[in-house]
Amino acid sequence: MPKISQIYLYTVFALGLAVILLIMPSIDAALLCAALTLALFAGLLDKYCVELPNGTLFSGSSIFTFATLLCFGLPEALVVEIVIALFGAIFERIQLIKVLFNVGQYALSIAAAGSVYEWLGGAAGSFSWQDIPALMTSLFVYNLVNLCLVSVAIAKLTNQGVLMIWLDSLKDTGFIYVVTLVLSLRLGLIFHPDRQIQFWMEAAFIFLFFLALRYAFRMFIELRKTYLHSLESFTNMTEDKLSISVGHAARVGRLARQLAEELKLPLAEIDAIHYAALFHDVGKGQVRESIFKKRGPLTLEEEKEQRKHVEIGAEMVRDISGLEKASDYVLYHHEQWGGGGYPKGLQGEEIPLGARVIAAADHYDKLLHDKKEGNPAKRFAKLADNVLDPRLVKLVMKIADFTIEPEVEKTSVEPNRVTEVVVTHTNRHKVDQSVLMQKFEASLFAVYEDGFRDGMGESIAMPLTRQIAPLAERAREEQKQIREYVEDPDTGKVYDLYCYPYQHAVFLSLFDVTGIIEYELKQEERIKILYRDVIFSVTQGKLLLADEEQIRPYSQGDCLAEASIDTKKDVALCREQVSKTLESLGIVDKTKFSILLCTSEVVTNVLKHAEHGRMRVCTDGAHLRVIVADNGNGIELSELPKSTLLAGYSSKVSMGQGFSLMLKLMDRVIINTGHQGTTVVLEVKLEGGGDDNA
Amino acid sequence: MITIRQSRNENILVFAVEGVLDIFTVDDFDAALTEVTGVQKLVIDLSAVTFLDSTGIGAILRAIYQGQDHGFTVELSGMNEEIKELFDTVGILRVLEALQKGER
Repeated sequence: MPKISQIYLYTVFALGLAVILLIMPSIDAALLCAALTLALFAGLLDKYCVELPNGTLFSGSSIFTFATLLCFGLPEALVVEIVIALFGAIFERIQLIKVLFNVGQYALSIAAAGSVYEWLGGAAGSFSWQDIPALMTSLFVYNLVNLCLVSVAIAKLTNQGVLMIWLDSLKDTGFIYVVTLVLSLRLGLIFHPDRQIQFWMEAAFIFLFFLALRYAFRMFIELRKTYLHSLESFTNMTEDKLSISVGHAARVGRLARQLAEELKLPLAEIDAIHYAALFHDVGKGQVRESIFKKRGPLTLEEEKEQRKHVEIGAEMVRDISGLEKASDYVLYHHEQWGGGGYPKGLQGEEIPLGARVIAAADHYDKLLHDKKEGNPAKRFAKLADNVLDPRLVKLVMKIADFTIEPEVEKTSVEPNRVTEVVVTHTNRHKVDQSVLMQKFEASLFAVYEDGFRDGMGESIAMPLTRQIAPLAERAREEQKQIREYVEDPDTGKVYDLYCYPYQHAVFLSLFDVTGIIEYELKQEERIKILYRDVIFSVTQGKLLLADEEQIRPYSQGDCLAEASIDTKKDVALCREQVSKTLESLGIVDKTKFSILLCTSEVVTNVLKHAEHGRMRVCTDGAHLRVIVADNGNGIELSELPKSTLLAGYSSKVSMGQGFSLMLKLMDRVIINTGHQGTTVVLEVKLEGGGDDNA
Repeated sequence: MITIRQSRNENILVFAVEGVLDIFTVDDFDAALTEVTGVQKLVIDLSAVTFLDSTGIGAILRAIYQGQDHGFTVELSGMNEEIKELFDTVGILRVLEALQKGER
């Protein structure tokens, strides 16, 4: 760490320490317990911050700092901030110097904010509507001081401009400001020094809410990662076939994403570029394999055919829902800055930015992976002359590593490593999406004794009394906390209900989570559709993930044979049935073997993943179909591409056992899967039959 | 449904497999496999195999990997056209070749 950074970090700590020594003596020992409890909430929230789908983090701990400031006073709020800084030290193994800096940073921020609040007439424990401007100003000062201290630190550590970092964090701060303001306001308003029950319930609730939110978003992000991973596997599959370095598309995808992020493009654009980069060569699958495997120079004719892969690829990507934009990027990723590329010979900024980004990432990856002589960095820099966008060349030179094998995973983290540690702790100020805010809807707090009352003892009307009262009753009898989702059958709203027993009373919190659940479902649905389209596209229409409606027509037609699947012996019986049918249709030799093989695979999968299944052999005249349905839990779709080639045999229980074989040998495979079971249709065209699927 | 006739000639053990190698019969194959010790080479003769699917391929892969661990080589012989093509598709022959060359 450079000396100047160290000096800066220590100076902030020293100033913070001075402030702490100045303010601390006036702490009210009686309030220490309350302050420490809130500090615990805040510290935990800071440790478990919410990761939003766009990757930014948001903890919400400063809500508790400000609640403490409003209700108990500045010294107590200072305690909360110190605890938050120390939590970072305990759980995240941050270097001592940075912990000290964080202590100083937080202390200075809250001291400034608290002084402003008091100067504007705010007093601890008596917050009312008139104090709102004081709170707003104070919170503003807090964020401002915090942001300035952090921006300078990051700039010093990474040699970037202070202003740039400052502006970058500023846009996140706005949202945090609003959430913190609203929630600390809420806590401040319900606080009464003599009757604190409502305050503590609500504080606990906000704490739990943030934890729940974190869990929900995490699930979603995991899901997204899994899907992305399986899409990468699909591209690996094509690459293996075409003798392209396996992992090329995945690496280009990640670097392109990183470049797009550096360019500060909107999230949707970043995603489009990432997906386009992932599929930039997908069209090659449809061009004759021999052309890509050929080592020597291509003939003119071959060259022409080779170039078609961008158009074919763009066409394939265009069919994928939500990726229409990405399609253009695939189309133009072989255009060159100087105008010497194809298919259109565009030049300069005529080429869409996304395509230029992919071209840069593509060239970078290829340069590092070919064995030619020469320094890859120098050769890459030369591309700025007329092949790539010079600005992007500079950017790649800055963020990517030319010296080692490009494990992009690593290079993508490395440049930020130094700042990361400080940044994790400034993440309290990073957030971009207002989803969180919109979802923080109606909530209700009540005490249950003989009826439902609010914190002041007034009787209130509780929705869903019939469902909630027994739960509250049970919590009291068993003296046990209960958490349950209750659904209102009339409105369809879903509530997250917590019951905490306390002596003869039960404290209830009821939170409307309908919005969050809907949001999650929508995201999941979106990813599913995207995934289905991608699979359809990269398998060239051979693998169709269908819903129940779509698969129904495939299971109709004349039924030629039928068998039930319950034990291992049935695999042979099913094959026997299919074999007889095929013979009667005059299907022999290779085709017969292929169909028997695939039948064997599907039926085996039923035995592995379900208890019971049923096989039918049907025909509509043009196609022969083997339809196998089971009652299992469904196939994890993201498992499918993993079963390619030998990979499927290494994991013992591979859901997609044999799927790559089916794709290779059948004309089409249609899958419908869900928690109620899975249906797989193997389809082969019958000779002489019509072709309605092309 | 499956018979595995074993014959041993000095350090070479031959498994003459007859019938079908699938999920119903794979346990028998695996059982025979666990008893293989003290040989330099295991020949799996598939000429009497009428059918084999990816479960069967899994079993043959296990034989190959077991050979790696216990120091014997595996040779596949007598495949009919269809099975040979299947092995080629899933890449099992490539795995064998690579192992024989000593790379892995």
